[in-house]
Formats: sequence, C-alpha cells, structure tokens
Amino acid sequence: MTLPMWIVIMSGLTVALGAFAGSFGMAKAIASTVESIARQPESTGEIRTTMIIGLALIESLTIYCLVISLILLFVYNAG
Amino acid sequence: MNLPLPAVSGGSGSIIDPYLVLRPFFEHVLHKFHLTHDFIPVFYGMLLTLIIGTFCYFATRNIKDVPGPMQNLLEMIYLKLESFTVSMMGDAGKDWIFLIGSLFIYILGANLFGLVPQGESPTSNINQTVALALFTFFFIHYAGLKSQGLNYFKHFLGDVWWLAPLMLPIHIVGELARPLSLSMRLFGNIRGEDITLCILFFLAPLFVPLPMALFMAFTSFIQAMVFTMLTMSYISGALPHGEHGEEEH
Repeated sequence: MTLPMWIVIMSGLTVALGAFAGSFGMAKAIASTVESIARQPESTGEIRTTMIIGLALIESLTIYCLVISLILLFVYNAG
Repeated sequence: MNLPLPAVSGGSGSIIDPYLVLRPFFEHVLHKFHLTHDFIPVFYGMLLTLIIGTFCYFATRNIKDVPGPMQNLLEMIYLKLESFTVSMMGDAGKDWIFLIGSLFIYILGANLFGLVPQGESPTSNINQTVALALFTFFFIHYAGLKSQGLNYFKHFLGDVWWLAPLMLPIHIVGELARPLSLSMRLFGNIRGEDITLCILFFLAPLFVPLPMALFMAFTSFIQAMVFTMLTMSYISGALPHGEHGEEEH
C-alpha cells in the first residue's frame, strides 16, 4: 500500500468516524429536547434555541473531521 | 496521485466550465491585474455586498409612514432581527444589533449565494470565514473594554486569586479557540454543502439535486443563525452584568 492510498482510506474513515460519534451525541441531545418539550410545551422556544446551539457545537467536531479529511485529500495528496 | 473529484473551485478544467460566465469574467479581471484566482471569493463577496447595498439604498430612499413593499420587507427583517437579538441578549442587545444584523444578513446571503446559478458561496473559502471570525473576535474584546474599561481583564484571572496562574492560560486558550471554531464551522459546513451539490450535479443533473438544494438552503440559514448566536453569547459574556457566557468552543 502506498502513501496516497493510505491517505484516501484515512480521509474516508475520518469523516465516517466523526459522523458516527457526532450523530450519536446529537441523537441523545434531540431525544432529551423532545422529551422536555413534551413535558413543558410553554418553554419550547428557549429549549429549541439551546438545542440548536448545542447541536451546532456537537456538529462542529464532525465538521473538524471533514476539514481534516479535506486537508488530507487536497493538501497532502496534491503535494 | 490527483483525485478526479469535481472540485467546486477547481480553476479552469472544471467540469461545469462551459456554462460558467461569472467566474471566467472574474478570472479575466484578476489576470489583468496580475493576481491569481485565489481572489475570486472576494469578488463574490463584493458582488453580494453590492446587491444588499443597492436593495437597502432603494428601499430607504424615500421613507414614508405608510411603507411601500420594499420598505415593508426591510422593516420586517429589522424587527425579526431585533426580537431575535433581544431574546438572546436581553435589552443590552439593542446596542449591538448593528453588528449582529449585519453579520446575519451577510452570512445568510453568502451561504445562499452558492445555490444561485453562476454564484459561489464566498464563505466556502476559508479566508472569508477567518476574516469574519477575526473581526468578531476583536469586536468582542472591544465590547468588553468599552463597557467595563480595564476591569474587563479581571475575568481572565478567574474568581479565586490563587488560581489565577492556572486560569489565565485556560482563558487565553479559550478565547483563541473561539475564532478558530467559528471560522472552521462555517467553512466546513458551506464547503461540504457545495462539494455535495457539485457531486450530485455530476452524477444526476436533473431533479436529483433539488431536495438536497432545499436542505442546503435550510442549513445555510441554520449556520448563519449559529454564527450570530455564538457571537451574541460571547458579547453578552464580555458585558458587565450580562449572564456569564457559557464556555462554548
């Protein structure tokens, strides 16, 4: 296996693992948000904004994985 | 080994080249000034600013008590932004709405610009997002210094004085991580969207990218909202009596 092949494999694996872990975290957050909205429908707005911020913060880790795999593909592989 | 990926901004030789008008024109202008095509997102940003500015100029040229359609739209946008800011920051948000609103409108327009034919998101280039995030970073400290004076630096030391040598590096690293995460999040999301859309167009040009494009309009909005929301929570963390901003990175 040459280095470019390793780079392609690892850039795919990076996004796969990042999306896997991130989606589990987001699933947990969304589940408890839905639960608390069902319990207290009057504070839906606040709960939703907090959830969106939290989801963005979780998502940013997945996006870091995407950025790293883009770097692997386009910077290391092209160079 | 170069991958045969359809790069969104692959320069000449890209797959969608024959249909492009705007980008070759920008490249032509840049070559006249002996600049590389790295500056093309700047052109797209300038075009976007021109569109927004022209709209605002014509909407506010003669303001009436009974607003016309354009003024009505602008007033609606302003009121929505104001209620959004006030719901996040309290009444102190009214002082900073000029920044929050401008950031939101520019980022939303920039994200949606990738879905327009001939367009390309300025925010799908990392230089643009880093510029936005650095501006936000300096503005947060400006807001803190303006509202609290030199007392602002006290909160870097933490609450307990003998923990200050430990808390100071943590706070400084935390501050420096903010522009990094802001810029990387926006860049990665929008760039990922553009690449996905480009690959879908490459695979099935008719009707298949449409639901994805709709979803991308939604995520563009969410990303603009997240950027401004985080800016607001950082600013209200720097203000004196605001709630202590959560340490989000």
